[in-house]
Amino acid sequence: MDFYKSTIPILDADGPETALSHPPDAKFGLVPRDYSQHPQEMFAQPTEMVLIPQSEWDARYDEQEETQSSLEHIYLSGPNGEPAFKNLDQDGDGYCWNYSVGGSMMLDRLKRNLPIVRLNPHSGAAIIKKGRNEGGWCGEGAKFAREVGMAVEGTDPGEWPLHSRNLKYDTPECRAQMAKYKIIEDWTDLTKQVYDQNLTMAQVATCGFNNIPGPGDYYWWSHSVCRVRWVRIERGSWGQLILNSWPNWGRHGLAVLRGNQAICNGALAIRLAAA
Amino acid sequence: MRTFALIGIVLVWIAAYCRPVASDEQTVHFPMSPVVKEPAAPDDPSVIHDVRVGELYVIESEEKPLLVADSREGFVSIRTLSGPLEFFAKFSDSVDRDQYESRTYNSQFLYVVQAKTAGEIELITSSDNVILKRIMLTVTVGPRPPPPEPVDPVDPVDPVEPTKSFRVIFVKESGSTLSAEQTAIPGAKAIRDYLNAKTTPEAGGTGWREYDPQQTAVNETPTMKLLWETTQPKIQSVPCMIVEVNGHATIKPFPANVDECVKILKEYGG
Repeated sequence: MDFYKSTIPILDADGPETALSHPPDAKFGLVPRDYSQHPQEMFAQPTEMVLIPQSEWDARYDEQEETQSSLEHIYLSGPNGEPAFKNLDQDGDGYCWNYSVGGSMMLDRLKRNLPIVRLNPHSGAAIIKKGRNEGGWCGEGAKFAREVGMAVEGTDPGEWPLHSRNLKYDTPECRAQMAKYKIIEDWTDLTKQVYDQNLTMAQVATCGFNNIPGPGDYYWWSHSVCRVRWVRIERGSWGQLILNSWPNWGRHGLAVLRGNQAICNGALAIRLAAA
Repeated sequence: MRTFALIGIVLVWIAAYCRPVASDEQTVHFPMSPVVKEPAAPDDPSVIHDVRVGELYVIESEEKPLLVADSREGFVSIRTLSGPLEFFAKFSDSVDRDQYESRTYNSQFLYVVQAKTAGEIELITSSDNVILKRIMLTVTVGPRPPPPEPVDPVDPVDPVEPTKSFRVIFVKESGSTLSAEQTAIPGAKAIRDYLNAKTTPEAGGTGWREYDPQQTAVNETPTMKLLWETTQPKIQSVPCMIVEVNGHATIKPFPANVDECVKILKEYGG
């Protein structure tokens, strides 16, 4: 297995399947986007985004490394190189499609130096799926986070207990708390069918260089994870740094996807959460 | 002597039971800051901008009915009543807001606002489809938080005054693509380390933020919220940087790179 910066594992499509890519007890839960149910118009278009041309990627990456200003650096800015927060854990349910959203919201708050709040993506996923353990795609979770918000993990009134799918916690008090952690500005749909893979990659890379996190769905993996940064593995070779929602995986949940595996099939950019 | 005593009793009775009617060309009366020492009302009394749980916030209209609306549901209740009415209650515009008092409101149209849930709302008063007044109202439930430090966005900083408070907000449009050097602000380690060490802590966190220009700060700490609400309307262009020292805020152009940013911050934060 190869490593990025000697510590962060690289998942390689052409390499052997490893315990890292598919731990025995891992849960996935990605269901490909059904465009008849979730049309292209449901999210804002990324046409406003000024794309960073590939000719600038090296300079951008070098600047991030020199100043240690990327989301990767900010995430790993805890004491002794530990993460600023422990990555979320979807545990035994196939709710990866909302954990990728929750992880992105937490990274956005971290970037803005807002108080660290541990969000619980089980809340929105359980409400959307009416308590059932069902798969989905990241846009479902993002839409709910935009319209309703996301609950805080905990057992106090208005909070949502870790890994619970029990809808008894969906109370008016909880909804009021969820509204505090809502996506205020629209999301950008990076993988509309009208765009080709190159444009998708350029958009995803631009988000990475601009420290804009977001969920990404990967059909080859049947999995949805949080996109953190567009990284240079070696000269001329680029990859997607992701934050997974599996515990004790990768380096504090981080790993790099490269080659065709780095091309996501559904991706959104979180631009603004309520302070 | 008996005559003087009688006059005194009458004056006390008037003071206790009759509310002074402020001259308002809209004939809409919001609760005003109480006059403690001066017998005459100030020329331009400030409208009360907060209501606590258990208090009455009474809006009067002498001639026309009003439409009084809240911008966000669930934070206050608004009752429409017909005057004159006498209340024995706590009022938002009392000198001592913890004391019950008896008041008579003589206006025909009365609107009683009461706190339900803590938060910030806008109270909008209109008549005949014309908005008469819009005010921000802080709704407080539970113990009253300490007042935030005052912020004056235009006053310059006194360079010799010791730094008692230091806060910074970087304002960037997250959808924009800046130069590589500017994109590194404020994420760069040198900036984060400096700000984490120097800015004034509040509610367990440090006193700096990165906001979008249209950022909502409804959940923010009181001081950061006040700083943003005071300075946001004065922002001319983005990206920019807001630096607050000892209650004085300055909106500065966005630095060109990390080194320049740290240099500017050190000029303010030491």
